[in-house]
Amino acid sequence: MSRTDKDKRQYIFVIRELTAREIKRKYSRSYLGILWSVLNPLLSMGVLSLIFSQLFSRSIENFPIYYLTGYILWQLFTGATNSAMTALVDNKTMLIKVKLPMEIFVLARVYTELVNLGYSLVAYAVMLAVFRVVPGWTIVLSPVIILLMLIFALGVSFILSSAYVFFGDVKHLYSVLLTLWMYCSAIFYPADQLGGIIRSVIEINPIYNYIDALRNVVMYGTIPPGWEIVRMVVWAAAVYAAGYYIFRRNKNKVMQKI
Amino acid sequence: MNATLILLFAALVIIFAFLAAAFVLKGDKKKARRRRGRRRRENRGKTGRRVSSKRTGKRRKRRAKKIASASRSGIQEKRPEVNRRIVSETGDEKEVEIEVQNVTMEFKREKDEATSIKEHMIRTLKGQRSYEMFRALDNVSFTVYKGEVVGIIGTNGSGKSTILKIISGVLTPTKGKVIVDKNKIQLLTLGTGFDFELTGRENVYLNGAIIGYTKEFIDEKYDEIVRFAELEGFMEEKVRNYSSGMVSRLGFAIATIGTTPEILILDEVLSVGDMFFRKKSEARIREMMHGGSTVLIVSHSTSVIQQNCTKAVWIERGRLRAVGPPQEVCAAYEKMNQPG
Repeated sequence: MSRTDKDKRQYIFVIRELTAREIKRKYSRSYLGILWSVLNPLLSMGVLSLIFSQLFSRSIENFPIYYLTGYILWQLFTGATNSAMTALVDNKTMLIKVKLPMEIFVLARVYTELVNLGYSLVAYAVMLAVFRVVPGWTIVLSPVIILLMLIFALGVSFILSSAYVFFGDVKHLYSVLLTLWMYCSAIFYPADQLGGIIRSVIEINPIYNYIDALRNVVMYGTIPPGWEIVRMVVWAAAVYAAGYYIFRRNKNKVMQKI
Repeated sequence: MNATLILLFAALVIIFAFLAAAFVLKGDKKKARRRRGRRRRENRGKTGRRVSSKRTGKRRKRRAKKIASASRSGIQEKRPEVNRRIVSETGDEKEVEIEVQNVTMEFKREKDEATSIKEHMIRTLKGQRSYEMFRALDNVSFTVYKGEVVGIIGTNGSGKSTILKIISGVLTPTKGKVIVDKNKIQLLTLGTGFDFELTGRENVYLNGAIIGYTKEFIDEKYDEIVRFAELEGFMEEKVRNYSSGMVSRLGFAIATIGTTPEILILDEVLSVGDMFFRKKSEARIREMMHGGSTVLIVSHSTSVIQQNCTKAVWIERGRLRAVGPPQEVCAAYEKMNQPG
């Protein structure tokens, strides 16, 4: 018991050290450093608002916040999966050297993105104040949504990271897929203006569900509809389980290949 | 608009189907190949090992002769069966620390491996995928007792690092097993795990964490690490700007500062650094030996092994050639490597 406890504490320490490294690395040659994590969403919001807020002024009442809500979640997802994809390959030398579980490296990358999200949330909070959006009590549900999103991202990361060891082109394929995925996630347009197949694609799309739920909770002060909650939970659980299973099964092969 | 979307989706689905098919086919082919490979190996007799075509028969013969003469010189030769618990038989207080039992490690290796799916598919369709079973280790067994300092020698690519990886539990052997308490092991390879964009201090914490030190422990020992590595005044500098000697010194200092690990594995560590540091690190290793650690050293340098070890293991092209006193094993090893 105490042994596993000690291990767990050690793992947490390792994840934190790895995360610290990632963040320091990311901004190691820039002057503004970590400030970019705050600036990035703001700038991107500015650009998109400039172009689209007129276009959607009737259907979206507060375009900048509407966009920002989607953007930070989307950023969490892409950041986490993209960096976790190469986690095993990048940390090759460490993997060989130590007897830590391989999951740690993937976890650390995803955790790094969560920390990044923390900084983005600062920007988000400021913007909420600027645009006088007063969130209702429902905002307390947002951590749950972010957590579910994170579990989903972790599942995808597990799959990608083990696939990337065998095929380098997963990276390129995934970037194409992400572009498609982004346009299907209704980040900068209202989803209810669409119909037909694409509408149902968007509604099944897990990312859209998370984004929409967060918008409900923060912007409109409503609890997301029941089916949306069910979908969020099911997506997170299913993808995580699948990802973890694949990761476990290929563990030995990955070690040999590396 | 809908039509284009459907087309796009279809294209993606096809790509994924290909991907999935590639994975499935890969698995099947490998299985078949393994079966085939086994048969072929049996035909070839017990050697099993694929001999590279570069090596001419003449040279092989010469080599064999040398090996034969080496084995005649009274060194304990490789035996497939493991000497079980010698402890009770000899009455010595030797405790078995690591027991390597008939370990065989095979890598399934594709000849020129496809690194892209496209290539992979083309090869699969053309039936051009040829595999090669590569035996990195072939039925290797030896025993290491507590407190021993064992040197592993062998030419490049002969499986030394593979055996270390198996002992430390990073790789799982294809056949055979290793009996060892994995929690006792600490593997030290130089320069690995350092992030060159970080400062020395940050690397100490990162590396320490990965090796398994707690934060409190590193806080406490930090000054000692810096002193041993002789890097006072450089710790806030990025490792990128270090010399390679400085990096290896720091690595050595971090790895050996801990409460003397019970089993320490050194992969090509002792032959780096300047003369003075080498002396210092050898002293450190000796200190650890007296503290009861079991040490495994991998090196090309026979002098390192002769000076530091109490036992030597010679692995050549995946097979265990000899186990015995370092002087004798090293002499045989050097003899084999002399041309003519």
